[in-house]
Amino acid sequence: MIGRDELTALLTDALANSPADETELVAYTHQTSLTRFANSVIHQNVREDDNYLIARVAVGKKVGVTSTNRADKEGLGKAIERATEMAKQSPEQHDFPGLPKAETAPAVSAHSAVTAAMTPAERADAVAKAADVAKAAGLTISGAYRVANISLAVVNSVGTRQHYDASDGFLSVFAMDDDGISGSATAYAVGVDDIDPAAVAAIAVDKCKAAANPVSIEPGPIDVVLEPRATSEIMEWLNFTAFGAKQVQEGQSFMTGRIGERVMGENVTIYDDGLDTTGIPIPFDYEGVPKKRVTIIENGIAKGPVHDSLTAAKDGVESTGHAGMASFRAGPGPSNLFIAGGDATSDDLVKSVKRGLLITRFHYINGLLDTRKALFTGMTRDGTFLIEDGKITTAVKNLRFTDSMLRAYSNVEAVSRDRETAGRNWGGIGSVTAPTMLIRDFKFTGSTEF
Amino acid sequence: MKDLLKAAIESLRAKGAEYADARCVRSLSEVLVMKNGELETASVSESEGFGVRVLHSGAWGFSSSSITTPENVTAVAGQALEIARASARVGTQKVLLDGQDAVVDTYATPVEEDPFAVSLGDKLGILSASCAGMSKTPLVKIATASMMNFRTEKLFVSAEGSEIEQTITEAGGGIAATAMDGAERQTRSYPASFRGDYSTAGFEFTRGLDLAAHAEKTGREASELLRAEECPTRKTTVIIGGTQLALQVHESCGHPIELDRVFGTEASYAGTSFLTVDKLGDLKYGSDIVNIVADATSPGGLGTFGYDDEGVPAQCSEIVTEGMFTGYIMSRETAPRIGLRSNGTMRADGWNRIPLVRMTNINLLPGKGSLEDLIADTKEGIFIDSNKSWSIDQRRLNFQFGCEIAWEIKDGRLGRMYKNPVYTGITPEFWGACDAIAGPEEWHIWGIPSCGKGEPGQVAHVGHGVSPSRFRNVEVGVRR
Repeated sequence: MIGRDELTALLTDALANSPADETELVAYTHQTSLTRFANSVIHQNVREDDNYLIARVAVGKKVGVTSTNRADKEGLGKAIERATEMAKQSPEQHDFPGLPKAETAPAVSAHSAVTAAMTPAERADAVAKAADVAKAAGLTISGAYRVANISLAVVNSVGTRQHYDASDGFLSVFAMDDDGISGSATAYAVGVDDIDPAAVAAIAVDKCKAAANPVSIEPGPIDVVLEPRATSEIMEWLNFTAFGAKQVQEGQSFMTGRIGERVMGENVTIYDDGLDTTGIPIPFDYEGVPKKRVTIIENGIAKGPVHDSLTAAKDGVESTGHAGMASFRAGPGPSNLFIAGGDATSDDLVKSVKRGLLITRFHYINGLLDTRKALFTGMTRDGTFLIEDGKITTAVKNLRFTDSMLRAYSNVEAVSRDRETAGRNWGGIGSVTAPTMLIRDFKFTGSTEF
Repeated sequence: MKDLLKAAIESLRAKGAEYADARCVRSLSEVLVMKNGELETASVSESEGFGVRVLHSGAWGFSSSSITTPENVTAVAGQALEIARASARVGTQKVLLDGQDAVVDTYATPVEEDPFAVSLGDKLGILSASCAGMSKTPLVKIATASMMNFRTEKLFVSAEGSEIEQTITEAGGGIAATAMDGAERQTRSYPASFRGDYSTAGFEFTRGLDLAAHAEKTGREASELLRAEECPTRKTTVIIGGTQLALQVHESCGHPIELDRVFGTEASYAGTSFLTVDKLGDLKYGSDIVNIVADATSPGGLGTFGYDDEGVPAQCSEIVTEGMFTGYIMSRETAPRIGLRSNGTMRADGWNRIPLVRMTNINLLPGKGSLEDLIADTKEGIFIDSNKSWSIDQRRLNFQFGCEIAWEIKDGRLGRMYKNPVYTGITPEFWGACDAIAGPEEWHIWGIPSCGKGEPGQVAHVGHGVSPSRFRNVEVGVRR
């Protein structure tokens, strides 16, 4: 990986030589390794060293964006030149507010030397430990162990200078029996020394064993206890469809026209905090603006979305430091999202259910059915269990839900104190930290054969 | 670069590797998005690097880098070998590859008009006219027009002596109008949702879409959807239009026939497949009129190429034959496990990814007659098209699709428009209820540039040739 000093010199030199009126350079450099296993055998084992450099330039209010993976003077210079040519040929972006000038973001600890030094043999040995746990239970495992070391730097021609180093490890273990019944567990941490592969495998194995011999139940409204991963998966879709200001401004978000109104239950508070090390912190965004803590939903009331400089200018507010990469233009979005914990334990939630389901996680959620109503669909997977009179009595076959997440999260009965951090399913830096939640009358609309 | 990669492979063989290959890939892409006449995205990306894949002690290793110096090529090959040795520490299952002939060849997508040589002004003119057309309808609040162009230059060399150079060019675009009235919001797109239609072709394909000419109608339909009735919930006959049927084929046929998925390599991520090997040649997948092939040679298909990323020639394979499940898409590693040879479907998303079994063009072969004939032959039902949402379980059985638009069919004619149509089913039951497929005159290969698979994530560009088809007793709407 290109070192911090070399990267800084490359970017500042390129900035000085840019012919554009304004220039922003973002460098995302990484060395990522991933060991993937199935049937308790490693079937893919890969490593990549790459750089992703983005040049965003403005000529007046004409903007051009290019990216390259060439982290050298010639490659970056060519990218800036090409972006400038594109800008000159483009029409004006009337809403372009100019590049943001930002103070240096506070330093956060998101890097681990242990993670950075992990070898392929150590990853393989971790997989072997997980496989041994499954073997002892007569099961096989599949999953992946990803280890990444990342540097992110943002500089621009109005004086913004940011740099951040991070690392993370992500282990997913999926235990499966001969009938294809599965249970899964994951661990996500800055330091891989905080990941215990045998312990992760033990949870997956227990889930798989408990999920054996599932029975069919009729779809319909039923109380659910959603484990943290299930809620995290829903939050990822709300990040995508609702929590960014672009979605609100374009009328896609459920918050459009409803800020200040009650949209969820009183016991639901959702916020983004780039500096909270409980999750995976990232202190600034892809425009180099330091992240502010933003409360999106407070006690069920919609408080407002996260912003980048463009959406903030449109709304006449300040950027909250949540810009995405300029090359994607997806708009701003949360990166280190939290759902506030309550005062119950996860066991309390199960005990308080007369008849309901314990959901380990969801599969293939889609939140595009009706984004204004946050109408989502998806399947359960990896352990769906019937709760009767406060006890888990049997596994059930997987079900499809189709429900408004506003309606569902208005019916939250209780929230656990303990929370779990999940890596972003869709990649990139960031995480979702969620509690276990008890929701009344979650709407299931279909079932499958296993 | 070729000589460096060949030398790296040679040194890996000398160190005991059973097999090795290397790919050097240079990719260039352009994305243009105009919204309400303003340019939202004007972005060009380039990426170049190489990857080395090695089989040692029956296990795989892969390493890749964007730095193409001789020293680094040697270092990366060494890393791949170290990783392969680490892989061999777990499990006893050894990788064996099928036998393939060495190939020395070149391939290039036939291109009439190089999309990267067309001026930005020319491209923006098309997008601008499209936005203006959609915005003629007052309730259209967001008019989006976009186009994407891709060029991928690939060099493949293998320990078996293959040397293949390919240049793949892809182009396409689309428009979408979003109409709003109070809290009601409806989107209509052309020629397909999620950025349109794509082809292995030059800019002549994008020009042929004639986006601007379809803009007014697209905007008008978005506005009409605001006032349309909610699609009723009932079991009924459904005719599915081409753009939606392409995604139906993708999710319920294309993914479950990936033999690596069948063997469990995607189990922990997007799941496995109900098409287990015991069902090959033995499962009635659909009705007698359902014939599906995987064809990487279809002219213009977005999954068309010369050779896959294991150096196996592009080819056409039967997948479903007169309703029977007859074939998988396979790699050199997976095919021998069921006594077969690769059918050339290993594809990698760039130099920094290993190839996976991927869809090429998964085509539902045409039947006969026009869409009009199909509707005329239907007493009662719903015509539904243009995907809005998609979801399917982890064995690819229970699916639910939401679409942009539907129309009632009554006595052989289209009637009132419906909004928010959703339909659901179980894959073999659904395809078993297919009783009519329109003919070659309606058949088109829809290009989907966004098929996700694998960890680390990979995006493939795939095609689906379909013509509108009719299905009986489909559950439409969401159970209350």
